[in-house]
Amino acid sequence: MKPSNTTPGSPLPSNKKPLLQVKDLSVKFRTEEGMFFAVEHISFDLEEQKTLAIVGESGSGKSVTSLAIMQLLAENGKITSGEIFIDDEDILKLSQRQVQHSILGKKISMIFQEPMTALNPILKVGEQIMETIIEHQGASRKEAYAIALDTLKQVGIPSPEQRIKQYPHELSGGMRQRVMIAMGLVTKPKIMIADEPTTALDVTIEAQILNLLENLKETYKTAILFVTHDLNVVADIADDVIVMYCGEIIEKGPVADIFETPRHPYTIGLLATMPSLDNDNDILPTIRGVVPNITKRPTGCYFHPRCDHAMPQCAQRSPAVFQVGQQAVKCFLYEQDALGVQDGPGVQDGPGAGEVNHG
Amino acid sequence: MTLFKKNSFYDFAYKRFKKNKLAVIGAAVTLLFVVMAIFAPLIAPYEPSEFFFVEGQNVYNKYAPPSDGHLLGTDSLGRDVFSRLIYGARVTMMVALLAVSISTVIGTFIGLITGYFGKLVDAIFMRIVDIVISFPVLFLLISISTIMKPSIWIVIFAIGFVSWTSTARLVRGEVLRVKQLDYIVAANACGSSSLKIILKHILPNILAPIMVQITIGTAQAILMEASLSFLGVGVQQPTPSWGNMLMDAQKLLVLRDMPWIWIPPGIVNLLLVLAIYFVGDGLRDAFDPKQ
Repeated sequence: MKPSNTTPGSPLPSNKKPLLQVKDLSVKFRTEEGMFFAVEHISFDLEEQKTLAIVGESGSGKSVTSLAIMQLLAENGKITSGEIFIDDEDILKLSQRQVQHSILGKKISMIFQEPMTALNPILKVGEQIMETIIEHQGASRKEAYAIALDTLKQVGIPSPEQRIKQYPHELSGGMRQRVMIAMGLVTKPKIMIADEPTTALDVTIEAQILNLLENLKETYKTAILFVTHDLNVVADIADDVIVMYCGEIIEKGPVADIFETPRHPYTIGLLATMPSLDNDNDILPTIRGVVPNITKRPTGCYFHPRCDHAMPQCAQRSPAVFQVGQQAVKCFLYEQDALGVQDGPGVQDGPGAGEVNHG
Repeated sequence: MTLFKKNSFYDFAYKRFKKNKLAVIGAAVTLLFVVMAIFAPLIAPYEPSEFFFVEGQNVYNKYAPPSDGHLLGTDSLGRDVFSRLIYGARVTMMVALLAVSISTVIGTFIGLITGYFGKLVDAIFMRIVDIVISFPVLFLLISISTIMKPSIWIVIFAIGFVSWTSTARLVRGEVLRVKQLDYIVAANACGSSSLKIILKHILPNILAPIMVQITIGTAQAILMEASLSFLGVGVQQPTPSWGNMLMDAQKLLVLRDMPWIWIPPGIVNLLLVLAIYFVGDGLRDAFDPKQ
């Protein structure tokens, strides 16, 4: 597993240039009760041919993060600070027209969660795929048709010559998701954002789609930002993982490290909730409490009311991000380790050690 | 029979429409009237403005009851009611269709931009809608007809300009609904321009309610034309329209003793409006299978 080479807020120098660089991104939403942060100080890098998974519960800000990158936030959402670099260009400094013209669909594309509703019901699937090609590559209809047909083949749609002339309602959910992926792929973007692309599909189809994404990543040399709440999927597909809670990144690191030695109490809890075959428990463990509403976030560390390891200071101030090995953790439990020797015996005192390593 | 691309949205709607008996009858009746209007010169026995004289005398043959020569008798000026009825279909339909075209174009355009862009554009145009809705149409038309020489075009524009508001509101609401659907967000994610998203993704998807609105708007325009012409501020003599044929019924004598003058235009008016409403309802059900 390749180490993650950044910490939130302060990217370390890297040997490989990241395709997508998000720096200190914050998004506010206007609600009846005022302005509230949906995500705060999000920073991460995404490198070529890597899959970065953003994991979190509903309302953790994972979808807002991806929509903010695509600049598709709802009207009441606003990016209040931060930079988003794609190919060393801060796309937040571009005009809406420039973003439409040269970024979206060209350098970055998105696959949506609901293949049932993400396709225009009255356009044939071919038309919808061709649209992006014609828009961005100025291809003729004939060329676009050929490319669309080829892409449908690439995403594993049987008898594409026939499918290309069909309407979305004539396809199954898995087929539609393949069409969605074809739409995202057709311009060969370097970055693909997949927002829970398999949530609406059944498990056998899910496996096929994940497999397909994996293969396409190799073929097209794309980087994938994979947004999901499904930890099994993360274990399958991701290289690096970001765990989000209440709009903040609370832990970040290579997938193997996160799964082997989760550091943040929330991550530990999250992994414990995963059903597993070698676990005879009748009752699945849960994290007590619920994700606080965006309008009623606790003081200090947002997780402290639900945390078994909460200390007095947790309620008072927000913890900084501490580097523990390959992982970056936003939790006071690791204050000592970060200052002292990394991966020292102190780590063993952390909650991760007890519950996962020896558990 | 394949009118539409196989398995397309409209193909399904067409199949559902065909199953609705009332709607099919409505469509047939409407079609009949359209054919009548188009081929008026072939069907009508006389010119609509031709005056008839009492045989052998230099006197207009006014208020003649139905006979072999005049199927529906003659009116207050001695013109053939049947011929005027048939030519009247032309005028009535032309006025209604042109007025609806105007209101649909304006209403759809304003509905699209207000719904899609929202904010200030929305606020401004919706206030304009409020103003237009509050306008006393009849008073406006009566004033116009006293100032300007009344013409059929004034009637068309007047009806068109007062009736676009309902289309605009409908389209705006539909745009607001459709705009947040995933496939519009997905089109945005592909970097499509606003114009393309409006024309290629939003408009085709809200065409169904617009079509329903067009049919209902046509029926309403026919009624509006009839009332305006009845009051003398609509289509002017000698041009025949179903509305101004009813003008004669303003005289008590005609209303009481000469039903052949006002019942036929009244009935065709009712029939056509009803038929169009049936078509409108049929379209609505065909486009929305959940209902």
